[in-house]
Amino acid sequence: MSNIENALIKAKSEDKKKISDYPTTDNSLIPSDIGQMVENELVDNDILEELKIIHQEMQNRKLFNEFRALRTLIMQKIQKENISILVYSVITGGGSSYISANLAAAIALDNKKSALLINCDFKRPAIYEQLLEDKTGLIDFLTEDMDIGNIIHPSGIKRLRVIPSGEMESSFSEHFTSNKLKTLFAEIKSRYNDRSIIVDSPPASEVADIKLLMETIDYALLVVPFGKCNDESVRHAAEIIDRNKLLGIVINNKQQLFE
Amino acid sequence: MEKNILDKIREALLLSYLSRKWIVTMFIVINLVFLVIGLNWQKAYSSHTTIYIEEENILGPLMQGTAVQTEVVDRGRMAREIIFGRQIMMKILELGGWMKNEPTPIEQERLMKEIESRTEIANVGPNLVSISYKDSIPERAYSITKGFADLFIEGSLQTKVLESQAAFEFIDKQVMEYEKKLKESEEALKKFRTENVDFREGAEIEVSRRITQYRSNIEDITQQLREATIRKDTIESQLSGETETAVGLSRAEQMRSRIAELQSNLDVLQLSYHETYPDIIQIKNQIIDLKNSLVEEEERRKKERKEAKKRGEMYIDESIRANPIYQQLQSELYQTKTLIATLEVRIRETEKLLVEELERDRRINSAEATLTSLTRDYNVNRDVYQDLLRRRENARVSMNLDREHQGLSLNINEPAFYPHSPSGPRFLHFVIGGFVLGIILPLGVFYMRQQIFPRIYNKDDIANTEGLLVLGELSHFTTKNELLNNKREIITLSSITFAILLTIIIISIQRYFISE
Repeated sequence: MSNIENALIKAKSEDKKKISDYPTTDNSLIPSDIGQMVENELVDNDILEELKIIHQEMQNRKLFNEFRALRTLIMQKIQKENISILVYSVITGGGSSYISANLAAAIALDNKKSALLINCDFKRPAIYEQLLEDKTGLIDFLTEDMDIGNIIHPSGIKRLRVIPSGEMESSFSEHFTSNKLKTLFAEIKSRYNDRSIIVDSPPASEVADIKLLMETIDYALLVVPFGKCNDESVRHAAEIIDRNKLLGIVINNKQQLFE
Repeated sequence: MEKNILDKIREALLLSYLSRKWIVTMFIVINLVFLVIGLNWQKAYSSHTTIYIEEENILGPLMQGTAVQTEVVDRGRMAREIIFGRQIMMKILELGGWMKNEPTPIEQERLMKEIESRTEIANVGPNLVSISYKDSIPERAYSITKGFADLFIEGSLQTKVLESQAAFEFIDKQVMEYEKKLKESEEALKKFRTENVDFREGAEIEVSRRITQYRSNIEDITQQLREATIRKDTIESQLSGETETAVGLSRAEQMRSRIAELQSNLDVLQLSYHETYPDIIQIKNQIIDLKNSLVEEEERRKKERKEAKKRGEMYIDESIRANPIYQQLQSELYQTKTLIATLEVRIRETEKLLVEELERDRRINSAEATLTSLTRDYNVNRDVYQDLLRRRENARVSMNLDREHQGLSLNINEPAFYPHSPSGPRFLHFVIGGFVLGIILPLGVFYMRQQIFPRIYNKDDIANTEGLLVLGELSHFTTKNELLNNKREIITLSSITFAILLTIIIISIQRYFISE
């Protein structure tokens, strides 16, 4: 991924001035119209494709439309504003980061909506975090006295903000119980009228973490990786979440013969 | 939802495509392994021969009933026994040149086992035995097959001679045994006849007749005895006290009569005379005397009766004894008693004779059973002996026939040939086998994996989450780099596969021309 990093560094150095102009206090948090959101320099489409994130101009229209359809289906199902969705996979490496990033990107395609992607899977690095220069994130916020604005970073994709996991800590899941997390979610939701929060969660094996997170999150989406797990494990993973909160299943990374 | 076989195959193919590195590696490894095996596979040259075994010959009908022809029932089995015998196998080892290296007995055993495993002996027809032998050297395949045929023919004839000789010897031994048994039977009969001299023909009937006669006699005498006893009892009862009065007056009665008579006279006299009249006095005295005598007499009688009773005899008054009827009865009684004694003696005598006859009868019966048994033994032994004598002569003729090699004729029907091309799997078979297995095995492995550990490939595979919606099936995001890498990978794998296949084809062609 070094080429992606190089490209990112290059893009950022060229537009340093613009970035420095970016207010230190996150204007995006000012409860105002989404159209007034100050955007960072947009990331190049090639880089997005290398990071496997969808964009308007991508050539693989099939995949692009699949994500759009997924987004629409979820929105139709919920029919609410300011929703929070936890995305978790049946197994480790099942693609929850990929699905959550693209779902957020698909939501952000709509210029009336914004999305916030939060990485709660502290043990595994998420590929979309490569979009960020500043990796100050959720752990830092929960452990230190910090303003929310310091951890919400523009992603370089329009209307998509990211809260990275922050510095890794082995016993971090204990902080999921803290009231600060609930306050964070409540505040984030209240900032914009139509902001969707997508939470990248640990896999189904980490039942305790998911259950703690679901205390503050409205809905969940289960990711089933193609050809990597069986029916039984899907059933077990689905049972973790209350059936009313579980939106459904997505099969990730489906491949076709001689594609 | 149950998948059909096509779906399953499609899944296996997809899995194989996704695991193409493994598939290609397995394909190449299998092909190379088969190539190596094919290259090192020892060529086997096979030669075979068939031997015709003639059962009937001209002598057969001629000697019908006289000579028993030894039959070869399972020719294949017989051939195996003869050929794989140590004697022939040692000759084969020499013939094949294995003995040049002077192998140890263990190595010889191993070589024999190997040769045995490469040799096939079977019945191909009712009288045909085929011998096939495989070897890596065509010359040796030919010479060993030929050797087997020659040595088998030689060995069979030898075996047949030995067989008929063994049969003759066996029968001869049996003849000796039965001769001995027959002699023993004769001796036993002779001894029996000596010991039972009085035992002759018809003795049993005579004894039986006598027994019947004695039994009849005993019955007659018993009847007579019974009659005599009754008669005796009758006479005795006639002679007893109850008849006494009827027989005649006793002395006491006479005395009473005399007293009565004198009393009557006295009464008459007393009518005319005084008491002092002498006649009256005399009569009175006579009466007194008589009365006294009467008392005495009665006393005596009483006493005698008592004594007689004590002795258990019948009391007979003397007066009665003097009676002629009594005497006659007495005489008859004596005669009857004599008769009874005589009859009793006769019964005893007759019974003694009867016992003797019964004993004789028993002896005769026992002797007869013994004689029957001895005669039967003798007859059986004699018959078997005579039969064996005949058989021994037959066996002798058969033995002589086999010695002259007239009993069995063995001909090589199809001689052993020199094998020009090897038999068994050839190099090309291995190449084709490797290619086919290289394709089938990896695909089969993936197919089996999907059968045993089914995974989820599409929404239809999710069956246990009832009521749970599948929101979408998202395709794989192939980046440009991935696309490029995939292309490179496919080209590399194809090139390697092609190179390997080309190498195999070149080796196969080379090999084909070399062997040609």
